[in-house]
Amino acid sequence: MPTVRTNETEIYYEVHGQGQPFLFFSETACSGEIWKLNQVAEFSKDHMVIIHDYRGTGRSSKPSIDYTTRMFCDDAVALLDHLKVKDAIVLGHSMGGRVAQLLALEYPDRVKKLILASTGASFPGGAGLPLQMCKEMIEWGYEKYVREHTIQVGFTDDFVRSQPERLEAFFKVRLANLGPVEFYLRHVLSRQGHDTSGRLKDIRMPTLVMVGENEGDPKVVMTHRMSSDVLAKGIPNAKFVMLAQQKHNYFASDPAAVHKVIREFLRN
Amino acid sequence: MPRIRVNDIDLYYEEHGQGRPMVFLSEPACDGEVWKINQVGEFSKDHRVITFDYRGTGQSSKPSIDYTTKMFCDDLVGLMDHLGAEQAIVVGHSMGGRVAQLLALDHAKKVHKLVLASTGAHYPLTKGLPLKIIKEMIEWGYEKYERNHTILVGWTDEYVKRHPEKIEAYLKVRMHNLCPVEFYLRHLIARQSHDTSQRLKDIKQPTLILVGDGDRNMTSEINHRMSSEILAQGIPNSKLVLLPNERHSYFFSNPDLAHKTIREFIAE
Repeated sequence: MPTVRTNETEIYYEVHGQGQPFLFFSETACSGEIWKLNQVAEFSKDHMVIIHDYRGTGRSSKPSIDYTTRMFCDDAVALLDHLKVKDAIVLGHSMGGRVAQLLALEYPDRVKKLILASTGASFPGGAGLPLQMCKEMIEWGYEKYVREHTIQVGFTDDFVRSQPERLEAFFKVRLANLGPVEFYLRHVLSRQGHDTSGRLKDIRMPTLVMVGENEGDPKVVMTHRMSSDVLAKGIPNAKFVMLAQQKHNYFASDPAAVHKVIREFLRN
Repeated sequence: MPRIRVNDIDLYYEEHGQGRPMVFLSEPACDGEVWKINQVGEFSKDHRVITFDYRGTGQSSKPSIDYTTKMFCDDLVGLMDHLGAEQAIVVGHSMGGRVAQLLALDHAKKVHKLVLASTGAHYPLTKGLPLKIIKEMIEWGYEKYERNHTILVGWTDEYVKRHPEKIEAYLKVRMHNLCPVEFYLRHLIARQSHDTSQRLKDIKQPTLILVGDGDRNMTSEINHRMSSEILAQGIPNSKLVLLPNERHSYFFSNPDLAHKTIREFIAE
């Protein structure tokens, strides 16, 4: 198993294809496995696709300490060093987009182009474990929560109704790699503690900000639609693309449309 | 059923006996019923004992808003005004002791003497929901968590082994009417954000600080033994009494000793 030892932690990673390096960061408490549903095959045709499991997920170490998005960022830099990758296209989805912002800010030489998918710079008023999430996890149980929450936030009613087999294919990967609940909570805490809102103007590389048109978890203070808007306005060299009739998990529900948008951004 | 309207909620309360008012404040997310197991019978002999259900518990209203210990204190102030109860002896257990400190500070005239039982002034680090509690609630379920936690924190292993029927008798009261998990969490957030650590020197009333010598469980960064010592050092007119071979719930497991200690303090 390919792993790199960094900051006293084993980070599991995989590399697929050749070409310009392309680094992927997944959503909160989600291992790198998720990118193998669609994106690895597509972009490894002409890129060196790098996926990895965050600490606390998948096959990486799971130390019982406080996690921060800065720590995830430093783990990824150690991985790039290990692979002798000078710079990469960096794509981050949801919490991964927060880690990607830090990478762009702290190590600007390592980021050629930045793709921020359904993410944000901060959670206003949001340090600590969110009450609504805790309540639902306790009432429903962990696995059921992740399933229900992912469906509610991730996929339109129409997709859920018309494409049940694709939804199950997604969950097969997402739930098979679900880490112990402790690390889900540690990831949520790191996400809630993240704040790059005062630093967006310092993100200098070409940036694509993407969000699903129908994203809007009614339970959160700031939806991904709103936080993506903040990113697009705050990052000087940003291009904003709204994906029609999509919610949070368009990488699974409409990969063709997403890949097209990304490829256009990479060409320009 | 005696209820009053205070601060836009209905507050359920009970009064037993006659004499100097004596108010009992229970632990987080715990209604006033637990005091009826032992303390109401004992102290209503020669006091006007007042118990009530915090907002979010028992038969009081349960608004879905953020709770604070200040809010619980204001509810109590409304109740005492309604009852014309001045100069009360105020006994606060655990989170109730935090509410009692606020009453002694912000409504000093209402407090004749203060009993701070197994409590503290603040949690210096963890301001939101503690990860360990949430993890266990998710893994075990809410009711099982409350059972296990109450036993682990409440009594020594020896007591649990020797008196299983007594434990069940207590849990029957504690678990009956257990509030919906949302309000348990709202109470925890109120407890974690409470901070009177810089104001202890302004508590002028004679104060008894009670703690079980084995009350060392850590849900976050500080246990009740440590926090009781901080109270004893900070409150000028205070006396610390360690109850031997006891943990958190000595009001139930050793009422005779707890009552004797309190009666001696009242008589001083």
